Amino acid sequence: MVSYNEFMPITFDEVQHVAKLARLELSEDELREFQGELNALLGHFQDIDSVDVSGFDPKPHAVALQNVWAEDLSFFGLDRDQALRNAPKSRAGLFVVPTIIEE
Amino acid sequence: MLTTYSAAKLAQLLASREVSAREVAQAHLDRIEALDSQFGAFLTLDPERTLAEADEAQRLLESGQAGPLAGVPVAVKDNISTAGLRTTCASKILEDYVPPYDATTVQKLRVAGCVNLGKTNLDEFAMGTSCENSAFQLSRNPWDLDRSPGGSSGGSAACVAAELAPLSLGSDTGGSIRMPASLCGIVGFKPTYGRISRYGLVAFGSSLDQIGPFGRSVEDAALLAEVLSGHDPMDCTSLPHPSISTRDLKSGSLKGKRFALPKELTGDAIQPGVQAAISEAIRRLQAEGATVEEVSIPSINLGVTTYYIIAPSEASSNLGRFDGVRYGPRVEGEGHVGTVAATRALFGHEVKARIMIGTYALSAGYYDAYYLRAQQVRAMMSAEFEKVFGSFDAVISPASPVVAFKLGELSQDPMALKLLDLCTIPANMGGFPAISLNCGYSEGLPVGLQLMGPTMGDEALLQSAWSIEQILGDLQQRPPLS
Repeated sequence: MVSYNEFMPITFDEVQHVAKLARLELSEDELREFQGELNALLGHFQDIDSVDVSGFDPKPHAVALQNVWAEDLSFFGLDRDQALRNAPKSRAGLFVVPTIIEE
Repeated sequence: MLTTYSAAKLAQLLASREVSAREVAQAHLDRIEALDSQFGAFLTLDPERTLAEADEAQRLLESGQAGPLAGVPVAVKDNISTAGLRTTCASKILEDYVPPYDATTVQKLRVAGCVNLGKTNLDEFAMGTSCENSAFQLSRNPWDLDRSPGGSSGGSAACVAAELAPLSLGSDTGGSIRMPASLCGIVGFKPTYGRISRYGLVAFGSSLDQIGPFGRSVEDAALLAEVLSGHDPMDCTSLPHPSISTRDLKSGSLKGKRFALPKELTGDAIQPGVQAAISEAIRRLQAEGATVEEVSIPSINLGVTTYYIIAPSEASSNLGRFDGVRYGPRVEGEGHVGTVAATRALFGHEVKARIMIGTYALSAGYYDAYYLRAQQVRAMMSAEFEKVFGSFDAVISPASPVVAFKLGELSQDPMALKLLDLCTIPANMGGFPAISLNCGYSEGLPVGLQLMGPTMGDEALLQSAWSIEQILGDLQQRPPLS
């Protein structure tokens, strides 16, 4: 866990790592640009570091609902053709995914 | 001219058969064709489809089964799914995407007999406050074509202000309805989170996103909110409450109403001209018997940080679905990961920036410091507002700290653009209903007054806004349209 008091600007290598995690192909220029933008923003983020939030449970939702159940009923969904209509590649009624396992 | 009428007036003329739905639709289509090249509000138009919907609405009107807005045209922000009509999110990655289904809101419009005029421009995936992040075109403010209409729902705000549409739909994650409403001098309403279904709204920050209406009057926006709202089993965050009612909209009064003015949304944070218009509006409300008291809600100052951790975190997860498999183009790269990454390079700069921020904030070692802590601040902020709502009817403030700014003026300063969300973010954090309505002008440009109310206080908030509009309505001007 990091503390903002020890805020260290993120390095080029870290930006490259985040881009890899995010599956974003970025040029070296873009990576440098994002390094600058991220550091500016992370610097700004330090303002929540000194706030006392003890006693507040994290609030993941604006208006919390609990146990939203749906009846287990069948209803009309998309047919196969409709579901595939926007796919860049499909074959035999299926989505074609990029090759995952190389030969 | 039909295009100058309010939605309420059009509905009345349609119900009494003085005009047909086709005439009303055609009048708006003609005006769009004549003028939208100036404003850039629409991304996609399909006049044949619009007229067919108008004929359908006419049959509904003639059957005697029509709802209160039957035959009235509505423009739809282009991140809301319309079956068979291109829905791009103003992104290259969805440039040719044609949804196979309607969003619940679009379905509700159809059932009510509203006529879809077309799809409006936005910041790509609703990420921005100026509409300049659209991959396709700039939108311009009808008050000054060199200025931004605000964002992200810039096209939806501009088309209503320019009388190209009487009503439109927007979405609001951190102010994307209220901020452009303020800059364009119209009414924009973000209801309580969950009162309008998000099913079919392309997700940005799911815990914050809310669809809502734009109109040129509080009544028009309220009538559309009534049509759009209500429980939807297709959205598990939809509240189990009935639709927003407009029955008592006009029966309120400002006498005895109590409004809280947070000092964090006055002074240095606000442009002097905006501050002056807000102060003058408040003085007039007090003269009508309303009480306005200054309060302090310290966490407001943490809103921008909290928002720019939570919203990008949720966005980085939501936008993971754009991988070139089920929709959008596919750009071949090296292997599976290379192909996904090359395809996602189609996102624009701001979308990539937010995915990067969110991915970083959620990554191992940083989750507790950023995302978890931001959620605790969110809880604290909600609690501070709820305490204020214990003794006030609503929180009153500017909707935007600035009037419409010049296109290009802030686009090189991402932090300055982000700070423009200061006044609007708290309502998304707490899920509170909030509305922006025009309250005057600074340098000839509109200033929006925001009211924020407690969760499920939508009807009371609309009632207060309607009463305020009766007092300040004499200020209302039309933009200098050619």
